[in-house]
This record gives sequence, C-alpha cells and structure tokens, in this order.
Amino acid sequence: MTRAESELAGTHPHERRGSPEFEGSANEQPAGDRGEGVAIARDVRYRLREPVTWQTEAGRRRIRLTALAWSAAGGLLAGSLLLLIVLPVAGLLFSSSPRQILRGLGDPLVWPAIRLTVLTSTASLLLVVVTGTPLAWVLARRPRPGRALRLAETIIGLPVVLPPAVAGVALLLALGRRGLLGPALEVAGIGLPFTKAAVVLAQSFVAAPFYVQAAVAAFRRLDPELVVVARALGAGPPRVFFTVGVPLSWPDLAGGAALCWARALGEFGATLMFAGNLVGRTQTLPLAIYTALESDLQTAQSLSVVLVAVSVALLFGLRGRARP
Amino acid sequence: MNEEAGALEIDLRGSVGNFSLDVALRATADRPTVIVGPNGAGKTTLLLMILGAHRPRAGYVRRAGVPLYDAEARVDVPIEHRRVGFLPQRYALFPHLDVRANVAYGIRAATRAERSRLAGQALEHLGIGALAPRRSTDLSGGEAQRVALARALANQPAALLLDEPLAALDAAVRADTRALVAERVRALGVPTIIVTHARADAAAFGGEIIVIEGGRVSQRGRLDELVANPASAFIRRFAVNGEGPG
Repeated sequence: MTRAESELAGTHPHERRGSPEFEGSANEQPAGDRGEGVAIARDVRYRLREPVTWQTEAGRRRIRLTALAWSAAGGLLAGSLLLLIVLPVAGLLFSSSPRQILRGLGDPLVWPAIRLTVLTSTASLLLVVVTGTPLAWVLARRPRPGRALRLAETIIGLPVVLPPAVAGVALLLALGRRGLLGPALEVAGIGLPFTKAAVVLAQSFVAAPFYVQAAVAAFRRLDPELVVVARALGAGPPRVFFTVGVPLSWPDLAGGAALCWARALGEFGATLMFAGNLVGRTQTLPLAIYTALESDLQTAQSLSVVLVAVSVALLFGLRGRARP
Repeated sequence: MNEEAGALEIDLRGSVGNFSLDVALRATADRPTVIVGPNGAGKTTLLLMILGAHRPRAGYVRRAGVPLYDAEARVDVPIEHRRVGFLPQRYALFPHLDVRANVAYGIRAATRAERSRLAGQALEHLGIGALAPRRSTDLSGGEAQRVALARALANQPAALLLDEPLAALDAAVRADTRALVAERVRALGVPTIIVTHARADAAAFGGEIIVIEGGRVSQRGRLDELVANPASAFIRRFAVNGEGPG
C-alpha cells in the first residue's frame, strides 16, 4: 500500500465499519481496517485514471491493438535472434549436396582429426568428471562454506569468462618450456606443449566449469535429510556419496557431462595456442576446419557438418534427460 | 537389559534460529521419552544434535555412560558410528531404491543376499512384507511410515529418535500406526525419544513428557501431572485440550 493509500485508509474506516459489504470478509481479515483501506484505495484509483475498459467499443479496440502490437514486436525480436542461429546452420547443411559433403570427408585431414578429437575430448571428460565430481560434492555439501571453498567456487567459474586464447597463453606460460613449471617438467622429462596431453589439458581447462557447476547445482538439490538418514543408518561419507549422492543426481550429472563434452569437442583457441596444429597429433576437428578453410572450403564444410551433427545429438540427448 | 540398552543422557546448549537451546534430559529404555512443544521451539534441532547432524555449542550426549558428543572432552562421534536411529517427519525414504533396498541399506550383514533376506524379515515384522518389491516413491503415507520404521529398526540402533512419527498420516491410519509404533518401540527396548504435538501420542507412548518452549524445558512429568498442574499456557492447551489432531 502506498503512503497516500494508507493515509486514505486511516481517514475513512469508521464510515465503512459494519457496512454489509464488509461483514462477509470480517472473519478472514481480523484487521478490518486494512481490507477497507484497500477497497477505498481501489475506488480512488478508478477515479484518478480513466480505465481502458472492455465495456466500450473504443476500449475493446485499444486493448486488442495493444495486445497485437506487443506480440508483433516480441515476435519480431525473438524471431530475428532465432534466425541468426538457424540461418548459418542451414547454410552449413544445405549449401552443398549430401554427395559433396561426403566427398569432402575424403580429405586426408579428416580422419586423423576425428579420431584425435574423439580420443582427446573423451579423455578430457573423464579427467573433469573424476576430479570435478568430488570437488562439486564438497562445494555443495558445506552449509556454511569457508573462504577457501568460496574461492574454489570462484576459480572453477573462471574459465567460462576467460577467452580461450588467453587460456592457451596462460597454459603455455605455466606449463610451457619457458613457463612457471617448465624447468621442473623438463627435469622430469615431460614436455607438454604440442602433445596430445596438451590438447587434453586445454580442453579440460575450458570445459571443466560446465560439468562442475552442473554437478554443484545437482548436489545442492539433494535433500539433506536423505544424507542424514543414510549416515544414521551407518553409511560413512564415501558410501553416502556413491549410494545416495551420485545416483540421485545422475540425470543432472549426465547433463553437465554432455555440456562439458560438447565444449571440449569444439575447443579451438586454447588448443591452438598451447598444443599447436599438428596433423594427427594435436589437430582436432575445429583446428582441421580452420586449416581446411585456407585450401578447401568443401572439407571445412564437411567437417563442420560432422561437428553440428554431434552437437545436435548431444543437445537432444540433454533435453531428453531434462527434469520434468 | 543388555548393555546396548544403556540410557541416553543429554545436556546440550546450542543455537536454534534466533534463540538458544538449553536442554538436559535422560532417556531410558523402559519407556519412550516424549518431547512436545510449540512449532519452532527447537525440538527437531535437539534431535539433530543428539543424532550428530547438528553441532551443539556445549554440553554432552552419552549413551550407556559413553560420550557420543562432549564439548569439553572434544568428543564428536560421527553420525554413522553413533548407532542412533532416526525416523524423520517426512520419512526420507531413498527414492531411487525399492522398499526392500531401503530397508537393507542399514543392515550390517556379510552378503547382499543375507541383507536382502533380513530386510524382508524386517518388513514382515511390521506386517508389510508384500511391499518389498514396490517403488518407495509410490507408497501411501501409512505404508511409507512403516517402511521407514522398518528401515530404522532393521539397523538395530542402540537408541531411537522419532520426529513427529504420525503427523503426516490421515486420521484413519493414525490410531493403528500409533499402536504399532508404540508396540515396536517397546519390543526394541532401547532409549527412545519421540517428538510429537498430539496429546494422544503422548498418552499412548507413555513415559516422561518433556515440554520445550523457546529452547528450554518448561515442564517435565507424566501426562496426568501436566494435566493437574500445567506450568504454561501452551501446556494447559496441550494437556487439557490436546493440541493438534489426535
């Protein structure tokens, strides 16, 4: 209630108290003044502003026109955004015949890139799931997270806002031959840059948040009472994690994993910087598309169609798993 | 009475929402201890502190003289090692497990087959053997309540905490279930604390009634003592009229 309305309510209640129209609601609303105040305020508002009403022909036309204008404007805006996404995908799929697209897949770049991409993105996914699930569990299960946990949650979100190219440079400066850990790694006989391991690290770096954040959200939705009961029945924290936490969060964990995998599949910038673009060793599908674009647009298109197909399959898999 | 049935001695201080909880009580195995009190008085919090899911600020919980929690001695036995059974108000059946697996969850036995057999037996004891293969998510309130009770009992706890065990049930099944719970709890023979807001529950479970208001014990005694000499307006309502359904 605005101040004006409450002042109104304060000046008038005595006139209204006991009038028949308010007796019916007296039981539900012991503070009768408030109910009367609202009723009066409603009357006042009608007097202050001529309402657009369905009762007159002009009013009906105005209501219909307004509704039409709003839906037209909304439809136009929403439609143009959808078009922005649909048009390029359509161009990708329909600017060449299926035969041409198949022929494009005959390029020698193609199969090593597909093989490498499947291998590295799966390895990245495994790495993220194995390390990220316990992290998510710890982040989600603490009712009052300390400073360290809040910091960890911020850190895990960092790759989402970090440009992939920056991530690549950062990885190089940390793990490259002349990076922070370079000398130590050299002593250990490990050379990371420009290897498959570098591809996996770059993909994990950029894709991890997609899984971990989904897993944290999933574990937070878990009914804490189930955890308490499981422990009261004698289950220690590891058993609770494996027999209650993971099975009940499974659909959301799978959804996060699919997103994470999709992000790893498409990783380009960080991989290029940190792992390079070596055919058969570090050239994943997105890098092969980039390379092919310089010589043969057809191959680039065919590779892109392969990635789109996989991404769309993942997207529909995700929606199928979505909670009701 | 075996050593497992040793009394539960509790003296706890901690915080609940805006006020502090300060409750001392002793629950013995011969009759259930009934805790009543208005909403938000700290009853559930007290149970969670005894259970080990909520950490008190000070005090102790001892079972048969052995500390489960002792702030001064810095003892805080993890929940899973306290052997205190807990039946939450909304039962908390594991939704991804069927009824038999729910009951088998807390059974300590070497093999899966043995656990499954014992779970079936525990269900039979409560007259719900037929529910064993059912999904735990499509049980009626009364059925879910019995399954949860079977699960808590099958774990062979050394003490039992029941939080409003009958509150979520229809009036029609409440009386039957009340008799069943009272009978099983007596048969188990371990210290049992029952939180309730219904006078009929307090009367059926017998034992000492402890009234908690605003985090403190406002009166304790048998129901007839509370009726004869209510110490607060809440107790007068509860003891004389029987607050809540029942």
